Amino acid sequence: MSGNDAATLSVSKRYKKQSALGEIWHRLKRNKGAVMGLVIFFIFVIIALYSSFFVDYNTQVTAIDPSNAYKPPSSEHFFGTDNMGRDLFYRVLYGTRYSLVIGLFSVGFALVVGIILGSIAGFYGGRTEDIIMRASDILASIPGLLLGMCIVTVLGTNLFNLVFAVGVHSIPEFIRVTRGSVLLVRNQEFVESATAIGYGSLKTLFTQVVPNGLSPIIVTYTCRIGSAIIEAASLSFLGFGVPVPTPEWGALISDGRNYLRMAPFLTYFPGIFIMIAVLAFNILGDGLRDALDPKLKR
Amino acid sequence: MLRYVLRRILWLIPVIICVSFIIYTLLSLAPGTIVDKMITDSTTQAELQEIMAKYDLDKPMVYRYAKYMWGLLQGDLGTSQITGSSVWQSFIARLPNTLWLALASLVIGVGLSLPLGILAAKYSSTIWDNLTTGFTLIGMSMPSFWLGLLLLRWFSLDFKIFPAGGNAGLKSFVLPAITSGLMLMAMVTRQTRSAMLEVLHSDYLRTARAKGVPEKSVIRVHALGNAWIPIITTIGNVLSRTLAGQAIVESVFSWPGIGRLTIEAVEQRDVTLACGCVILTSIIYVLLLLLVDIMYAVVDPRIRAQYQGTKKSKKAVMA
Repeated sequence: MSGNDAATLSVSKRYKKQSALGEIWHRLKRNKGAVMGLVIFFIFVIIALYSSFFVDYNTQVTAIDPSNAYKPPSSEHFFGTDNMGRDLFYRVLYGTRYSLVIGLFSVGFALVVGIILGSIAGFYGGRTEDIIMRASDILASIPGLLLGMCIVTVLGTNLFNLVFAVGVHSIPEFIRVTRGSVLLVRNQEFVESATAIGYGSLKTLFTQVVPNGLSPIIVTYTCRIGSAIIEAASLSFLGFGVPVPTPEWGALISDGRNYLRMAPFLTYFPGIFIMIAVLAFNILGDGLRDALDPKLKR
Repeated sequence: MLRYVLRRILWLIPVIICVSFIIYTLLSLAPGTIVDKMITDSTTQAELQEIMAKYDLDKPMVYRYAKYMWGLLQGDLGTSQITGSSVWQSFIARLPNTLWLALASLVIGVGLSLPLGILAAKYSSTIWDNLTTGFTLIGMSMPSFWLGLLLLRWFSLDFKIFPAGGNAGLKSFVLPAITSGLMLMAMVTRQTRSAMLEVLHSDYLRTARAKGVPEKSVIRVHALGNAWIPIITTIGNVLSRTLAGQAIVESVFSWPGIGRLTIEAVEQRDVTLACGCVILTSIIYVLLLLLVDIMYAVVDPRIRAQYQGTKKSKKAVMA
């Protein structure tokens, strides 16, 4: 083979490799909402990563200064100050990281557990499938908020436990979605050929079947993040979240609630941030669904 | 059909056993017990022993759970460890408040979302459609407790139109019902729109129009009749989620419902009451999903036919 041929081959290979992801990206780009969601998501990531460089946790986020309490929003304190004289703007900015971590990781935890159990259920079938699916049904029939409350009560209030408490409740959905997706893929020829060239069943499952059934799982992941953020904020609001004085958004609203009459801005601003974050993930999820779902291809 | 419903109801038994095990174990392992609130500095060791013995706290958890389970198998949910009243009775006393609230939010949610969704689908890609889409997206992204607090601030503190909390007559229903109804409304509107969009481009609608069926009944009978399934699924899912998440709305509006009963029980480590509440809520949840499945058969003759068919097609329904 001459050098020229090899070059064309590698070019066409690269082109082909790009085209699958590139096509999805192309379709996602045309969806204005999805792009907006993606932009907002990146802004939040930047805030979460870099807020600690500009805002000092000990002197600006949690330091108490009662003489400065209940200041309405002004050029000095953009979002006003709370009952302890803490600047709400800094607290809300700093709180971004908690909501993002909770959203991404709690659903990520559910995703990993769900993919493993769901793909095993779908691929092997029979008794294994029955046991996994029935267990998943039982888990799904416990109301999520109540289960989360009980889990946090046992483990104690901290970020990691909150992530776990919110994540557990999403597991059944991922089991269901993965199983359905694996059922669609497992009878295709390339799975048969993987078995034919001597792949073990677990290797076939995780190198051939699961990667080819990923798109509904990715869509579910993105769509679940929004509701996970709301669930975590709800648990925090009820006092089953992070310990004080962590500026988690739900906890901020819970604090502000007591001053609804005299300082309603303490409730308004954290809520607006929750709403924007959830909105971003929801429209991004919608866009991904349109881009990944071949049924809806225009 | 009847056999299927019976099977689903029998399925409640393992659900109850597992749920009770999970919740009872979790709460028993939690740091702190109900006794913490009863002891004072003057409590002697002997008195403490006595209290501990009264709640079997001196025995291992397995013993307590076995005792609880034995009662549960006989249909006895036990008594609240704090007030001493029967769990079943405390639950039933609070249940109507929650159910009425759920019904009110269902009426608001579904009553508004069906017309909104149908119109948005009919006039798709117009300003009306975009407005509806924007509204549903915002409605889905708003945490319900935050919306509740906003409504409370505006309509009860500023304008004093509605009471701020508690259940005192029809007026006090308005704010909590809107709060929990908005999420329902947003989701159902969205689903109605997309289900209708799918149906509106179908050939049988063109046929219906071609043979001169008036537009009104094209939409109501031919289109909506075929779009019911996803809409009902969404209503059922969101309603069950609303019921389970009612705790949060009830806590904002100090609504005396089952959600707040559960939260208080968990906070006070009243294991029996909390466990009973979660079990009963789970039962309602499962029954609601069963009701959705039955509704499928009611609204869609194709599914009804499957239930009446041979054994093979019945299996297809269950899968």
